[in-house]
Amino acid sequence: MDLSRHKRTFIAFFLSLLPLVARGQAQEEPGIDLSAPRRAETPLPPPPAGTKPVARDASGQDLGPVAPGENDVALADRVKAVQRKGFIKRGRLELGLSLPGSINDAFYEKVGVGGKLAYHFGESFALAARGAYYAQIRSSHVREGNQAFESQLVNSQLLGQAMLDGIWSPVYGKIAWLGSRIVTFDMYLLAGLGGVWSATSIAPRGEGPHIAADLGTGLRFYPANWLALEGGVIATFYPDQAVTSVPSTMQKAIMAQVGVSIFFPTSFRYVYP
Amino acid sequence: MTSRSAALLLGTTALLVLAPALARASEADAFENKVKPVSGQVYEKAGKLELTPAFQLSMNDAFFSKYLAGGKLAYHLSEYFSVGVNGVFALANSATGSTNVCQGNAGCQPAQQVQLYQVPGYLKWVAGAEVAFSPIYGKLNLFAEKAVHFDLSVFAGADLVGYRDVLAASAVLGGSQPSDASSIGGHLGLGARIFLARSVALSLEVKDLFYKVQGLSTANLQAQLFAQAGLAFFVPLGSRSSP
Repeated sequence: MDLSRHKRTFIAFFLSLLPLVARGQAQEEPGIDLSAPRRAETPLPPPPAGTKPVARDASGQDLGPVAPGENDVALADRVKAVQRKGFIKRGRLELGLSLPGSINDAFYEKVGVGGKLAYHFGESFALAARGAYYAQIRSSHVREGNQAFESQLVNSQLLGQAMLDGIWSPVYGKIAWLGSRIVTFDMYLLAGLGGVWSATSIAPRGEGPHIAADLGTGLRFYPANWLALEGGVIATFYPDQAVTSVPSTMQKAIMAQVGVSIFFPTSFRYVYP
Repeated sequence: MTSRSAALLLGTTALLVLAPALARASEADAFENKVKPVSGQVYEKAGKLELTPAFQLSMNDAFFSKYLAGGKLAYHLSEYFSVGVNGVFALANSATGSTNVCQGNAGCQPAQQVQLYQVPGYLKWVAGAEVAFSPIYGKLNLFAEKAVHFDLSVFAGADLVGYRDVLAASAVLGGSQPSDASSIGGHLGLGARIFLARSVALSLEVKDLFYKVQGLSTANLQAQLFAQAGLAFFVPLGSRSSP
């Protein structure tokens, strides 16, 4: 452990501020908390038997029957409502473009372009065919390492991949952009199998594709009925023997990526269960 | 610019340029354009000090894995903008597996100390100031039971970076020891706060730190990716009236 005078300065500074935290714990809670229902001040009279709930605008004009739950929301958030989803994926095709970049190889960094075709069997599950092509960038660390260690760096040069993935989206939510614009999002987990092409897949060794598995996670935002923006991290694992004089090893290519997807059909209609 | 820097910049740009348009209700919505959504931002930051003790782990290391501890003190000018100072010191710098030297029949051996003196990446401390923009506040339902509130932010800042300088091979052969050095740098990153209570949040950040290494004759601009986790404590200053 390398301790310096800076460490002691930081510790003393932060410890001196910690007592102020107690003040923050005692403050009043502003805003609207939807996590717990509020008790109504006066009980509402029950509607006459046989009548359906009807929404009205400010002038009192009928807006037609409303679904269970919506009436309660309009009445002032007195109960915790199950809100319907703002974006429907079930039964839609997704065509996506992504830009991945490696985050675990400081010597040979990889950037690429990828594509995805997915079908959503349900709101939380999709099957996707995914592919990517990569270019490799040799960083200055290669030269520094070669000089310092008087040796050569061995690497598996990743050229491309084709995968079949299952995508599970268990978490769903919404965000406010600058406190006003509401956008829905979900968080997904991804796993699948496929093939990876590296420098050993082509001549002179011509080994063909290496079997590969991938695992990933990310966030998808839905700013329009037909559009999704996403960002995530995907790790791909594949066996490769970069040089015949060294043992075969399990290669790990971890890519951060941003992407955009278009959904077909480009609109949806909410169907009550 | 490295690929991860480009990815980070691209992600930030996408976040800003593709700022979502107003979400539209579907055709079946009886309240379409009649009932505005009430987005209750339960956890407010404006006018508060934020103190964040944190732990940092380096990513994408070439020669040294770095473990750092420190913190950040920020003041929230509004719900969306904050300014702050930050500082971390290194708990450890350990040589990565990439520094192992493998020879024909002798197997692989860790690099010698004199070899490690010749490569960059041995960080000692970082101190700086930054500006953050948090345009996104969100909530999600966890297992249909617990509402989790969070925000997302982008930030950038200037830093003073302390590191162990790099020695040339000739200096190492002459028995020299590397000295400490410091240089001006900067960082760019993405952050998220997951609110655990009124004044406490889990703070997660990913940032790319840039700095120059004096001992390198060429390509002396270094980029180092860090992941940071910490607990943010919010301390109100003065009184603010709620709407």
